[in-house]
Amino acid sequence: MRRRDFLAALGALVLPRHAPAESPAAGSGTRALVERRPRAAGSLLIPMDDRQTNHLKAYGVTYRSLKRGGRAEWLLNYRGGSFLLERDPVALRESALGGVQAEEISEAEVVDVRGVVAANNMDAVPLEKAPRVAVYVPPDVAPWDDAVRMVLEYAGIDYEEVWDPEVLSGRLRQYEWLHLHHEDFTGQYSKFFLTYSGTGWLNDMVRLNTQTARSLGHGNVAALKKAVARSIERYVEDGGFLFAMCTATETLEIALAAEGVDVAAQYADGTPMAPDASDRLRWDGTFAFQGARLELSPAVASFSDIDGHQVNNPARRQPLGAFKLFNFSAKIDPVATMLVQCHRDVIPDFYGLTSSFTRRRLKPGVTILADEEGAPWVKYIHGEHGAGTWTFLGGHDPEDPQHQIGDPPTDLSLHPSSPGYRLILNNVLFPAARKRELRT
Amino acid sequence: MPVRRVALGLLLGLAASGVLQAQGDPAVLGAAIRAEGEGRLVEAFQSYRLALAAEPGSAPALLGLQRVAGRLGWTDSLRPHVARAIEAAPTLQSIREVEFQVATTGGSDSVQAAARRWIAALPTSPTPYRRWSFWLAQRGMMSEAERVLVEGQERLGDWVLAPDLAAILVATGDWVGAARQWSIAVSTNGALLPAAVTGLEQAPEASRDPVLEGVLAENPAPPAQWLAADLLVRWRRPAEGWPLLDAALPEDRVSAIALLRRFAALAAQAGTPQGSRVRGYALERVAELSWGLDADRARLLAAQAFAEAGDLPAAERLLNRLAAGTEPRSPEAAAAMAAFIGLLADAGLVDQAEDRFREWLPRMSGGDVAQLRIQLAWARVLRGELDRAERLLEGASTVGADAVAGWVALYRGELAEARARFRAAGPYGEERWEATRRATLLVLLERVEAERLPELGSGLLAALRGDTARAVRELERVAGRLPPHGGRADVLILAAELAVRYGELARAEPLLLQAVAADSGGAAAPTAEYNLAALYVELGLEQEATRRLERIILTYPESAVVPQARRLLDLMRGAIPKS
Repeated sequence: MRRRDFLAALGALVLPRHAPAESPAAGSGTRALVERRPRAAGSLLIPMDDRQTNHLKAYGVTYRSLKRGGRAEWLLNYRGGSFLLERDPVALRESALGGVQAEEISEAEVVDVRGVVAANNMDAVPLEKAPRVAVYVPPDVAPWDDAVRMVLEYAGIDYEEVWDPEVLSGRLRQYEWLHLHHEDFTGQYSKFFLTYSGTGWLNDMVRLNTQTARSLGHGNVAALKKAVARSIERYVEDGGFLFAMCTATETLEIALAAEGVDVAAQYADGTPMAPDASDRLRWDGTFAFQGARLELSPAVASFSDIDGHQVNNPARRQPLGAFKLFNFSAKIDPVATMLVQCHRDVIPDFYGLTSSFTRRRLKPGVTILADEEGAPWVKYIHGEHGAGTWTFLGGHDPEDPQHQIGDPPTDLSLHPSSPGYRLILNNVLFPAARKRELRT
Repeated sequence: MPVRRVALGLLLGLAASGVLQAQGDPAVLGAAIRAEGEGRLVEAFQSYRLALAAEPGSAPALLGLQRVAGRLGWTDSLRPHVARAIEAAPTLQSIREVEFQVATTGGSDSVQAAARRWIAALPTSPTPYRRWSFWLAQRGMMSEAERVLVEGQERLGDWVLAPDLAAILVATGDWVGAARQWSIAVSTNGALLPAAVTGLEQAPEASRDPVLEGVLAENPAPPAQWLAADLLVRWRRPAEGWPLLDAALPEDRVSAIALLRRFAALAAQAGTPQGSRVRGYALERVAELSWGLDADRARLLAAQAFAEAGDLPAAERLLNRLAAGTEPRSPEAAAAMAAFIGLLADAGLVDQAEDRFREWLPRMSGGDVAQLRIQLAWARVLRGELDRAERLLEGASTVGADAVAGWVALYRGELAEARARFRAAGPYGEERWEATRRATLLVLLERVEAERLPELGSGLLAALRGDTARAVRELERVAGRLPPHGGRADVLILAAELAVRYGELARAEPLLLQAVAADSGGAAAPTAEYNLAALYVELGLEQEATRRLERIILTYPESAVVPQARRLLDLMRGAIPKS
């Protein structure tokens, strides 16, 4: 979103054209923004540079402040993307309890900060409403960790879990933000079916998905997941924010492109993948990719040539490097700038079933947020789709570069300043930065 | 796409026109390989075609063409080249392999036809059955895959495709069938033993006995018995595995030793007394099959294993034989005896250990003597024999001996001497956990200003000897006599920690509340509050625990326990995994 559009949205939020500010018809967030001015007593600055002692919980302090009806600003590129909150004893207490560095600053110091922001590649973006977050997660326990749920729990950010029945019944409209992590929307159980044949967790996964497909009137799991993918696409089209990691990125795209094409192995839907499936995929309705070639072998846990690293394909596996976040113009392109706020520009890469995105498979117009210099792949991408936006981050767990099936979940108290996990949380607060029409 | 078809047609036309030029030119294949390596795929494709035109049965050229065609998406164009190659070299395995791979793009019927042609051309080769069944299995067609392999076995002999069939049977859950196949496979080829173990060890608990029956069915050959022994030891049933292995050891000494060592290593992983005992049996057998230093080492390891299993007579028998069989003054004999003395001390047989120590003292190395002095002194302390412990340490000048002497002084209540000894030992000597424990006690001793406090020593000794109730009672009584800022809170915390460690949670709470009250503004208060919070977590009183933890963080922000308090809060909230 360009700054012009973004500010227009922001203006509509501050001065609604169809309802006066004091009117009960205006949302509570709107009233709060108009009525609450920074108090003379000063503000609370949560720095996000290397002086911050717990970057991840800082997002939680800000989120909960918004949830209590407080106001906050995101100072893009200022000291690592700091937050400026109303001076609030609850926020101060939460900062102390969580080990979050917070600085009480006077009104005069706030003016100084604003001067610095105005004079540099920085911007102050008002945050006005704690977004309602949904995480797409199956009700069973998969033998791998889920980076987003872990970081939301650690930061203390509320979320609700949704799965296929909720998505297909239209419940996504209740949320501003939807997260997908390791899900396989091609219905092939992450293509672990042959390798992990006979294991309890896979049996459970197959049983659960098959029963769900039947109960929702779909002939097989692949058909169910395609329907779910279409619902997610419509959610974004209608204005939702989507953040996806790992396999969810690639398989969601394949499922959307595979309308009427059998892309699932025989074990998944009873018929082999169509031999010409790659040629028949239609990419016009997808978010990010085009022209991908599918992996034909059902025994190789890889889906297509969208992924650059091919971690489970020994012949094509690429080593891990490091990815670099792009430096956007905060005043011209605040959305992309928000998504790359971090105290590190270069971050060690990490594998996932989908680790990265091949450049030649990106659609024109996709915004690259981070890439590995000189490599044929990118790591972190963003774009608009209808009235909503999507963001894809490759890899599974930023602090466990080679997460294996059965590995214990990452203990984030050992990584309170993880730059990789910060990228996930940028996406949580990003929807807070603009007024959303409630759809319920 | 018509334009592309035209372009492709032109390309093939051009390539065909060069055939005559390529006749008899061996450089064409080299040029093709170079072009492929440099990513000039269309050029490589043309060159491989030229090479095949010159020599239709050239496997390198056909394989190169296949690779390049795959990358260009032109796999369909391979068919005429494959047909000509087969005509030229009908029994070449690699060409048949290419034919099969090309056929896989055409579905089941074409795969079956290609496999049948391959089998007809090479009737003694197991490869076509293997490839065909794998292709079927990849598509979930397990029963068809099994039928293909069974057909292959009927024609070529049971053992040829047994590992492949076993893998299919495992995938279908037929563990017993898989066991029979692996039994056949290892009986014919012993080198397959590790693969067989890997293939069967994941059998579910309920299938394990039937799997063993499958492996051992109908007069099993020795390798099948080795397989059963290996599986049993991996399933934590080493005592059942040992007789199987022992009865089937091969005549060849080197092979037998290799099997025994492998079994001993697996038995050690069981981590049980039974595993240690079986490890002892296997290593003793290794010693019997070895000579010289190798035999001594195996015997020593066997003695250690028996001692770990609690079988001291067996350990002593081996060590006596070791000592008798080697030169009494040899370092090996002395080292073996030092190890045995240590084992006796650990087992609580201190008198026997000390007798042997004094007997062998002149022959043992300085390092062994220093280590044994410490070990024996600790064994005496554990029996409450502080005088005898001191006598063992007389004349010792190591850091470790200093540390033990500090503990002995502490247990006597000689706090000034204990402080001096602990300071002298510093962070060195013995193991790290011991140094940490010493440093913790030194902090407490620094707070308690008295020179002598026999009740404190007696309470700590009672704790060491496992008499927790008495220890807690005595420590509480000592604490009551200390000034509030002179160690009272620290001793109360220590008493509470002991109570918690031995499960007396209700006893710990009043001790910790007393500690907080005794030194509310002092350094011990956050520690006491943290322990109290941890106690409340144990008791399920999460609100109380939260209140305490938040108080620590907000009231003592500079305290060293604040990170621990935050971590415990996170754990209670479920914000981090319980690991």
